[in-house]
Amino acid sequence: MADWKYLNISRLGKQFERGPRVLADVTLAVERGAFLCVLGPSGCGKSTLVDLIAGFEQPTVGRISYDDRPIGGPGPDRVVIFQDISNALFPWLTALENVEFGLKTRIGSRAERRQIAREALLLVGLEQDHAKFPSELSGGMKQRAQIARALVMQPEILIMDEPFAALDAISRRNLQYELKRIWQATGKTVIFVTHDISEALILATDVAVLTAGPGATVKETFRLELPPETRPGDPPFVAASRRIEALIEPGATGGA
Amino acid sequence: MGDRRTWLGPLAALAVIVASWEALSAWMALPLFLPSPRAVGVAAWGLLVSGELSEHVAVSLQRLGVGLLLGVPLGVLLGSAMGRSQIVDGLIDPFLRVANATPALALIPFSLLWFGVTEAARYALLVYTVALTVTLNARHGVRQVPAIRLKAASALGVSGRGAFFRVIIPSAVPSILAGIRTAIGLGVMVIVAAEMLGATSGLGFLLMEARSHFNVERMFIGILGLGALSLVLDLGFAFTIERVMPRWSAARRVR
Repeated sequence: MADWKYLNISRLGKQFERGPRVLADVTLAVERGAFLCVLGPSGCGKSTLVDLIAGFEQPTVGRISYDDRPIGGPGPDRVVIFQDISNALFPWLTALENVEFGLKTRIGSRAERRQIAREALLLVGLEQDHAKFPSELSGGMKQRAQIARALVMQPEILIMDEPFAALDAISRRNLQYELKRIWQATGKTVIFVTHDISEALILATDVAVLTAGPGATVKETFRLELPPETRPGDPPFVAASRRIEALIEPGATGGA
Repeated sequence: MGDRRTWLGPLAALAVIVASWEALSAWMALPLFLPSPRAVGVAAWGLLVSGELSEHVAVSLQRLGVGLLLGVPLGVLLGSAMGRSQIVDGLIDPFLRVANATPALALIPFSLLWFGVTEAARYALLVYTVALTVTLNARHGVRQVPAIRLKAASALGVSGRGAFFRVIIPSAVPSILAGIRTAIGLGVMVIVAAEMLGATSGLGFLLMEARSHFNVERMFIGILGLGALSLVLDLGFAFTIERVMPRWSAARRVR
């Protein structure tokens, strides 16, 4: 086992009671500060993997640890950003109050909380809309608020479960570059689940491709190493995209 | 523009109704059976000027207020406990079902037996009605909290009791408010019925007293006054939530 890795997922399996075996044997190792994109077809168990890393579910077999500590229940060291834009934010709280939500148990001073939350909204470009309720925010703005709400907790790992899948194409692209900028500015370790190959190529430092479920395993993991400033359509981008396509194609046998 | 259009329709309908009523009462020429709208208006003006009408309205409102003050917290408490705990739900649900199938009006004789012709009898009926309605709505609201919302909170370090007060109850507020709104409407009905028996004030008393004196104008005032009161309370409640508690109206509109 590569002990020097930060997040270690070894031989992880999840079987729900009276349900299918969603994950069969997943082994992944992630370095501190990496941006890992987990790619896989719909229904391959990506969200189950998120639930396990976040601690919402416990694995049937195998183990997850980071920084040499096993993962127990959910906690603010591993904040999750959800795809469900209508329910992830608290609708009775303004954008600013949503960002403050998790800080309340941690920081006693209201002024200090407000200050931290405002800075986070500034980072995600939502400072103008701090007084708006979620119902008054667009899908992209809601996801920005979710990111700010996660960042103020200063998580060790940021877990993102297809966060931009419900957005229109233009907002999605904007947010991908925004997220990249935020990740570069904060240096967080990110686990980003998606089924969008170009999204993965824009964001990731590392890619893990899962096999089709049920009983998913990791087909392949690799370091992306695209030259900086690579844009969609550039030759290295296209080449990497073909490589992933080949892995995801039905009947692909994997291996590089 | 849009506002004017929404008001014009009902106003026109009202004018048609009053005109037909006027015509009908003129044609019947039996003021003891159907007084003219003008006669009712004159009598209402008299009651208003003397302060008698507002006194009756105030008494009925005060009773309704007490019913809400006691019934709403009781309903919220019961409903949220039932929504969160299967054990509590299993214990109380059978009684709730029976109570829900029993109109409050059917309990009036019983409450008179227990409490006599007292304020307590009327309060008991009101609390029963309000608490029942609010309980059902609170339970529904608490059960409908989206799972993602609770997951989000627990990932932010808020679970257990914290999640109950900071996520589950707030999530149920729109549903609870809808319950209170329904309870106000039902409460007006119940309070009138309760005031018809042995009360010495209130709109229901006004109605019964008018009947016994064959004062048809007063009866009409009582009936129309009750309708107006319900309407004003309902609109006022909706308006208050919209303006004074924007976060809860915003919570409802979430997509």
